[in-house]
Amino acid sequence: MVKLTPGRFGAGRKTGRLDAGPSLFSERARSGLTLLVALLVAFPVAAVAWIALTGGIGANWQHLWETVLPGYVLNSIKLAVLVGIGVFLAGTACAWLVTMHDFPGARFFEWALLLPLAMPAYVVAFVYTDLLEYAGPVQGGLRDLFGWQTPRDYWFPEIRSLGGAAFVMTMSFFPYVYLLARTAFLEQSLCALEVSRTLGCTKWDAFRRVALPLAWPSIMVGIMLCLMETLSDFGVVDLFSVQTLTTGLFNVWLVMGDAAGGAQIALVLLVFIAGLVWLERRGRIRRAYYVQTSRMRAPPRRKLSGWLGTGASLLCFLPFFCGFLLPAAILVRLSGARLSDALSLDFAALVVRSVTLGGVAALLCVAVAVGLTYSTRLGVSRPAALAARAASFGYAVPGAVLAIGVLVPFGFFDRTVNGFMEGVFGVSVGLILSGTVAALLFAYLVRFLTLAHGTVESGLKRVRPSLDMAARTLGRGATGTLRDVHLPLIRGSLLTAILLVFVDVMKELPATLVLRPFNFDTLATTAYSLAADERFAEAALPSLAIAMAGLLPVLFISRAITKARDFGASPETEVLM
Amino acid sequence: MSATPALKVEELSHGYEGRAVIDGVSLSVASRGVTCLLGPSGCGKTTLLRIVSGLETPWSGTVELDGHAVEGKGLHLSPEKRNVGFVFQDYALFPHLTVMENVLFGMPRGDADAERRATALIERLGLSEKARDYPHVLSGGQQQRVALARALAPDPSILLLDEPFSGLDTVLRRRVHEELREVLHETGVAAVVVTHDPEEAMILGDRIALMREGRVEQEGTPEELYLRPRTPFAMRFLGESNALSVTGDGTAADTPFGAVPSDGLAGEIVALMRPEAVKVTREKPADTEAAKASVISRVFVGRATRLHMKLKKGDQILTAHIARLSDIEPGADVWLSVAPEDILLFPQDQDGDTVAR
Repeated sequence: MVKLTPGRFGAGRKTGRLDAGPSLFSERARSGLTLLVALLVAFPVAAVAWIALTGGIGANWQHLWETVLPGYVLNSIKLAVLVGIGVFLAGTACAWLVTMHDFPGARFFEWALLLPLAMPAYVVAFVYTDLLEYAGPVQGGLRDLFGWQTPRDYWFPEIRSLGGAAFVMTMSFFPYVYLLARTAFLEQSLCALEVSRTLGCTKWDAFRRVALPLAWPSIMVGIMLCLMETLSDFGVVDLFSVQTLTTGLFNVWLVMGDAAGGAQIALVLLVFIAGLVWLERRGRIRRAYYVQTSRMRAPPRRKLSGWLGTGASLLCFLPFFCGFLLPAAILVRLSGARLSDALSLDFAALVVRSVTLGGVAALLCVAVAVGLTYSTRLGVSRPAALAARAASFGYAVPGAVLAIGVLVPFGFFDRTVNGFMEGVFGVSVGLILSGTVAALLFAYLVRFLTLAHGTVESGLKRVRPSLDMAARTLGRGATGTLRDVHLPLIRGSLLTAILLVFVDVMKELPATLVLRPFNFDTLATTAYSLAADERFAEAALPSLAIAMAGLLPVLFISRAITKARDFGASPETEVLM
Repeated sequence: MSATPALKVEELSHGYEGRAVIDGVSLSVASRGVTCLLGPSGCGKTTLLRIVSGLETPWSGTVELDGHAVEGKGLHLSPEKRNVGFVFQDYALFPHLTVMENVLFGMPRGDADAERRATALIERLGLSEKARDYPHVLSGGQQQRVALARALAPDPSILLLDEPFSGLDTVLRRRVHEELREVLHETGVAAVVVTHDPEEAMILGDRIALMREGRVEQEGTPEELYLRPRTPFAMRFLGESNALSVTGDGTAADTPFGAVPSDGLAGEIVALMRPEAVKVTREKPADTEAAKASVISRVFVGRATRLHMKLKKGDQILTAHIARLSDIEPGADVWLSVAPEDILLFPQDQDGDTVAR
C-alpha cells in the first residue's frame, strides 16, 4: 500500500502526479531505481576524486605542481580564451547577419553554418595538418611559386601549435554559439529594436546596446558549451602536441604510469569544467528572463546589396568553408584516392562494429532515459528527484576523466577478484570488467545519458499530465499507459535521442581509446591512430564515414530550422542545447 | 432503482505539502442523476474528483463506488480498476489516435459489442462524420463531445466531469449544457460535475454540493441552495444578494421592512435578501411595511433593470431587479418592501461563516 503522508513526499504538486498503486511501479521502487542510476553516473567522478585524494596527495601534488601542471593549466586557459573569443566573433556575427539581413546566400548559410558540427574536431585537425604542413600542397605550392628552397627561406604559420588548435576548435565548435545566438535574435522583440531606433540609436548602436545585451545570456551558454568541448578535447591537442590538461592527464597516467597523478590532473580539469557548467546554468536562467514570447513573426530582414551584400556573404562563407567545405573536400579527395579500401572486408568490419556499438549504446541510453523520465513523471521521492537532475551532469565530464574514472576502479576490482579467486580456489578468472565492451558501454551511458534524458524529457513534458490520467481512468495501468500513450506520442523524441547518442558515440575518442577491448577498433580510434601516425590518406576514409554519420542530426536540425523559419525558434533546435 | 449510492465518501481529508485542501468531506451521490460540486477555485472540488477516480491517494477517509470500498483503511484501488469515467478540463484526447480510436481506448480490444457501443455513442453525439479524424482538427465543442463519448464508452459506474465547459465560449456553453443534460439522463449514469459557475450548477445539477475551503458547506437541490441557503457564504455564492445590518431582541429582528422573527438571534444581525425579492413602488404600499429610498443609478441589463438605491434611514445601499422597462429615473424617491420569508437572518460575524437559524 502506497500512501502519501503529509510533508514526507512534499515534492508532489497538484497536477502531473498520480499514484501508481502497489506494483513494480511503486514510488519506493521508482525512487530506488532513480537513485541507483544517479549513483552509477556519479561513480566515475567519485572514483577520480577518491584516487586523487588518497594517492599520496602531499608529495605527488607538489611534484606535479612544480613540474608539469602549471604548463598544462596555462595552455588549457590560453586555448579556452582564444577559442572563446573565436567562437563568439564567428558565431554571433554569422547569426546576426543571417537572422536580420537579406544578402546573397543568406537562406543557404542559415542552415549550412551548422554543418561544421558534423566534423569531429580531430578530423578537422589532421586535415589541416595534411594541407598546411611543410610537405603539404599549400607550402609546396608557395615554394614552387616563389622558388624558395628550405624552411629558412620563408615564414609560414605552424598549424601544429596552440594557435593552430585554437583555430581548428573555433571552426569546429562555433555553430553552438551560432545556433543559440540565432534563436536569441529571433526571439527578440522587434519592438525593442524599433524603440531604440526611435530613441536615436543608429543600426550599429541598436545592435550593440539592445540586441547584443538581450542575446548575451544565450551567447554565453553557447560559448560555455564550446569551452567545455575545448577543455575536454583530446584528439586535436594530442595531434598538435599541445600540452593541455587532457593530454597531460594521459601523459602522467599512461606514459608515466602515475594513476594518482592523472586523477589529480583530472580533478583540476573537473574544477574548470564545473566553473563552466555553473556559468552555463546561470546563463540559461537569465536567458529565460530575457525571452519575450509575444512576438510570433520573424523580423523583417534588411536588404544588403552591392558590396555590403558581398561582404556579408563572404563573412558567412569563411567559417562554413574552413569548418566544413574545405575539410570535407579534402576528405573526399583523400578517400577517393584509396577507394579500394572502402570495399575491403576490414573497413566493412570497422563500420559494422562502430555502428553496432553506437546503436547498442544509443538504445541503452534511451532506455535508461525513458525509465528515469517516466519514474520522475509518476512521482519519486525528493532525494530521487534531485538525483535524477544531478545525473544530467554526466555530459560535462570529459571523456579523458571518464576513462580514468572507469578504468582504474574496474582494474582494481578485477585484480581484487582475481587475487581472491587465486588465493582461495587456485583459479585465475582474469579480467572481468576492464577492457570489455561492457566497460565501454558503461562509460558511454555516463557521458551520453544526459543527451538522451534531456531529449526524452522535453518530449514527455509536451504530453499533458491529463493524458496519463485519462488513460488510467480508462483502464490502463502504468505500463499500459507508457505503451499505448506515451511511447507513440514521443516517438519523434525517442528517434532524435537515439540519433544524437549514436552519432556522439561514433565520434567519441578518448574514452573509447582507453577503455576499448584489446584490438577492438572503431572508426574513430582507427582514424585517430592513423592520423597520429601521419597516415592521413588512410585516415580519411574512416573520418569521412564518421562525418557522414555526423551529418544526420545536423541535417535534421537544419530541416527544423528551415521549416520553422517564419515562426522563430522551433522545439527541435532545443535538442542541441 | 437500488438504494445503493453510486458514490459514498466519508471523512475524506487530503492536501499538498502538508496543507489540507480537503478537510473531512462526507458526500453521497445517488445512483442516477447529476450532482454538481460547486465552489470557488481552490476549494478542493477537483481534488475530491481526483481522489474518487483514484488518481490521488487521500491522507484519510473512505470512498465507496456502487457499494464497494475502493479507498481507505489500507486499501487503494488504482484508477484503472475503478470503472469511473473522467472528462478532463482540457479533454485530454489522445492526439495520436482518431476519434473512433479515442472512444475505443477504454474498451476491450477487437470486441464487436464494444465497437457497436462506441459507434452508437459517436452517432448519438453527432460525431459520425468525424470518427476518422484526429482530435486537432475538431472544434472545442466537438472535442468535448469526444471526451464525453470516450468516458461513457466503457459503461462506467459513475461519470466524473472536471470543469467540462471551461474551454467553451458562453453561447456554446448554454447549448452544451442542454445536450449534456439529455445525454446523461438517457444513459442513466450517475454523474458528478465540478464547476465554479452557480448558474451552470443549477442548470445541470439535480443536486448541488457547495464546497468551501475543503468542506461541504451545503448539499441539496438547486432550489434549496438558492432560496434557503444555510450560510451567508452559500447565499452570496449562488447569486447576487443584499446585506443590511439590523438589530434584534431574540424574538424578532427590526428590519427596514418590518419585524422578522429572529429565532433567538439578538444584538447585531445581518439580514440578507435577493435583489429580485425587493419590490420597488412609487407610492407607499398600503398592505405592507415599506422603507423609503432614493435611486442612485439605473442599469438596463436586458432581462431586468437593476436599480441601486440608498435607504433614507441609515443610508444603507440596496440593489433591486425589476421588470425590464422602468421609468424610474436616478434621483427619484421610491418605496421598498420585502416579504418577511425572503429575508434571511444571520448573526453578525467577522468571517460570515455562521449557520442560519
